[in-house]
Amino acid sequence: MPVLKDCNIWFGGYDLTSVANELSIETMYADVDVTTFGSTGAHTRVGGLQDSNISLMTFLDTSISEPAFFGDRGGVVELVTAVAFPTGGTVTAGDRCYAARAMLKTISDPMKVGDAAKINATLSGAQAEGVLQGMVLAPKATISATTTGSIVTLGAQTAPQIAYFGVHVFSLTGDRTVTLKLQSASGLAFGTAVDRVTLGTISAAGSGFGTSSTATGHQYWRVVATLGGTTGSVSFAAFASIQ
Amino acid sequence: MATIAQLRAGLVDRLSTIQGLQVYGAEPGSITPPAAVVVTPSITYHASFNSDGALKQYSFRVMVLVAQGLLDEAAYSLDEYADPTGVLSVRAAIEDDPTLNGFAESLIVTDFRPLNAEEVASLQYWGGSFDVTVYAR
Repeated sequence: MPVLKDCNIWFGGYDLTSVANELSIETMYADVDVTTFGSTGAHTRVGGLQDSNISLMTFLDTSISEPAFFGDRGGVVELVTAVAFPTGGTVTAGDRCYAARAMLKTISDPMKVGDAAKINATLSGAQAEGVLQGMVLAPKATISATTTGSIVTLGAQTAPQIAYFGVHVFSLTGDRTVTLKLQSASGLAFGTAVDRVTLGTISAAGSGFGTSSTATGHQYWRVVATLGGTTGSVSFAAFASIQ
Repeated sequence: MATIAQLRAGLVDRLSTIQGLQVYGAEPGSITPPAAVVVTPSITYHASFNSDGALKQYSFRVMVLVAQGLLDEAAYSLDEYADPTGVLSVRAAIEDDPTLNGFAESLIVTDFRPLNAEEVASLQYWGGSFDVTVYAR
């Protein structure tokens, strides 16, 4: 049983890792009662709609957790990604992650004299895919030139599965922009890379998300980050999920 | 990332602003009262995620020893160190720089208690103990 120490949490364009100390991702299904007179005295139920809740507990940091949560008031849907067990404590390509596009539901600032100031948030899953289980394609890193990420064995995408591609852009300096692309290939050599999802050019910190519904037997996946502009750098992280 | 030595030194600096108080950065073999001793803290390592860069909670104890044995003057003297404000206030001196020279994120002096009879008998000094919670990475 691993002990949680290094869970990395990315929320839109913010890295909450160093200010968060608790995270809960809850997925539940409505139980729909379909009992009939012929059910011989017992309830009969079927699974209904999936729902998800995410709770984030953080220390109040006026440059991280406070703007992250307060910037998302008013029904903004934001991408949240958690890498619970990064390899050796450092997020590595291929690490398992959970992600969801969720809408801010509550912000709470528990204030008790003598306690460290905190700011907590709860979010509700807000998009059809619910909570995704995937793999990190690109750990958080800063690049100053177009970069191709590590190859990750995410596996084949069998119809009707969908390939999901999520990115967090934490900062852009100078005149940089970034265009992020999900690619797959049949072999580790990545001889013929196929573009699966290409996100629109990102020019400000935030998140990006895209999908591909085209099935493929390709086992190998990677991210390509193409920089625009001439000076500065971009800090980002990316994941993919097939389900 | 802050080390215990840096935080301890920060507390020593704060306590050294109290005129007349002999300040010891660690448990000494002997003291000259009135003295303050910064005792090795207990630590909660994982107050936040991110092991190496995680927020840590250091629970320091600062002992203030004012005189050998329990004397009236000693008790009155200790009052002044225990006062929440004033030129001899330990709380005020420490909380005046919650960053401890830039190495801490925040701190609070939560409690003071006078030493009990057994402690005084053991230490040979009358005094009190301050609990200082320091948050640092």
